[in-house]
Amino acid sequence: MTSARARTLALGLAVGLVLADSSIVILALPEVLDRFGVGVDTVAWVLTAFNLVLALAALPAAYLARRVEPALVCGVSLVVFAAASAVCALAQSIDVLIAARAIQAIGGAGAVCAALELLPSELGSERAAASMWAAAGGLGAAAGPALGGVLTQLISWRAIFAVQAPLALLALAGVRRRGRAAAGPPAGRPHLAANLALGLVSAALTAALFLVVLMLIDAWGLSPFAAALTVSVMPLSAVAAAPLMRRAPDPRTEAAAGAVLMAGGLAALGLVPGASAWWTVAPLALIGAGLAATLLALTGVALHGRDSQAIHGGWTIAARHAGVVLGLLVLTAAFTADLSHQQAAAERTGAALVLDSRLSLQHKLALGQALLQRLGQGSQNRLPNLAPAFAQQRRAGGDAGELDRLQTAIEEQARRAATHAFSRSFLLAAAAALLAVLPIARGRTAL
Amino acid sequence: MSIPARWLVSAAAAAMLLGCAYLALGGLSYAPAAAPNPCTPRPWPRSLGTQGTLEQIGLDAIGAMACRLHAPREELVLAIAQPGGLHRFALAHHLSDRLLQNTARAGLLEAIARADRAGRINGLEAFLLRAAAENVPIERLVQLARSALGG
Repeated sequence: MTSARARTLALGLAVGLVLADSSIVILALPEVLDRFGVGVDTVAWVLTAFNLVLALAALPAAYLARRVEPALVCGVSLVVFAAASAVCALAQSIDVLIAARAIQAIGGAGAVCAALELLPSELGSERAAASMWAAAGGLGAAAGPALGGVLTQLISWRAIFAVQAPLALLALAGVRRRGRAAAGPPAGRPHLAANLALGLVSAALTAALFLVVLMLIDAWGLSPFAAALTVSVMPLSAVAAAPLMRRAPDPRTEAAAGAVLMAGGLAALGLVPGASAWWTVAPLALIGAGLAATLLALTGVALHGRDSQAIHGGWTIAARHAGVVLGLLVLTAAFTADLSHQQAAAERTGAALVLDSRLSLQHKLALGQALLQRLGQGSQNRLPNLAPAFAQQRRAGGDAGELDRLQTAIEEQARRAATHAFSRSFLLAAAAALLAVLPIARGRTAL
Repeated sequence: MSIPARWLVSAAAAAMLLGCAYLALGGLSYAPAAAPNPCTPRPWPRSLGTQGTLEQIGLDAIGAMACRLHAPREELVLAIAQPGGLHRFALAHHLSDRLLQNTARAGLLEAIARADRAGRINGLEAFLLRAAAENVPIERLVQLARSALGG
């Protein structure tokens, strides 16, 4: 027979697994993009579809878990999640992958909301259950990109989903029948301030997860593994800072301090003074510390003293993932516009460097033509490899020293442009995190 | 100061410290360098053959044209080098074909005069080039420039 501790861990695994799924594919997106030969806007739906459906399905799933036996809802949902994960792993077209991601989200919504109904009987109190549920979800969301990156680098993007299927089935161990939930009073109003703040913080978190990974891999050329290692700073910092942040005098202070830390980290990401992963470590640590405090405190507040836990948990999931979708839509649009602007700026600066170089005119023109070809061949958002254009001119007898100097200068300008393209999006995300302080402060009486 | 206020001030201080440190290290200026002013004449390379001199006059002409149009020289070079680029350039800068042609001719004449003043071409060469610039259809000159730029 499974012990209560093992069942709690299994339910925590289910929650962490589902909420990690909202971000786990981020590091795999460049590989998925190459595999299916689609544009960035299409491949972004692999991420958006999951979060959108999760936001929409969370409340119906919570009501279902309340009306039907929660163990049944959790069990069936985990099986649906596992089956959809297997379909994702085997998908041969982007349409199938996106559709399977939507079904994963439906299963995920049922599992997460029903888990919140099951956890109190394992942990003995609703408060402990809510803390455990929020911690598992927060850790899953923060660790998702790192785990996805490691699997993508070591095996393939398909491995992310292949691993999820058995893990979801393993989480079934936490499901113990306990009969239908007692028909309590109708669910009260959701905690608007806490849910609004959760939505804003989640929109900001999207930037930390999605844009940092894009910057590390596509702009700075890191491997998925190196990028995973870099973003793992965030969950590590979240775990390390949690005991300190829990010492805050009240949840409102904890949530507000966390949102301020997140805003600071995001603003620093918008101001990185160089194109090195090291510059992201301190901002990610700050975001991780803030994330731990904010998500835990706000989720706790949204659930505290409210009946039923599943329905109000459903509200928090809906608010968080609606925030993620909003963040994806707004920040990706801002980033895409800035990227296009910065690409044009980098082309002009590169052309100026070539035209004003000490190369012979013949080599200037040949190099310019080769660089334009490389730029034309590059992926929409990935920094093109310019080295072959310079190698071609070295072979053609161009001044090697001048070509070396020019290559270094042009690559530096390209990195600057690619990095600068992220700045406004990070600053917008910082503003969203800071905006979350408003509902936290306004909800002072309730928080 | 109350305990909650102390927490908030500490969090804000940590956030500000990191932001200020990155600003001090040049975070705000980590962006591509601005393209040079097209109205600032570039020094001529020390020695050029006849072909090189003609190409340099072409590049100078593009610089002079960009200066008159208040557009970056490099944007104009890229526009000439890419098929359809000049049309897109004209649309982006709200320029008519006639204005573009007149400016191209004026830029070319300015570059020839500069080469003459710098002693890179003699009086006869300057006269012949000026005659060509004034009489050859500008579309033909753009085609020549495009083929020289590899477009």
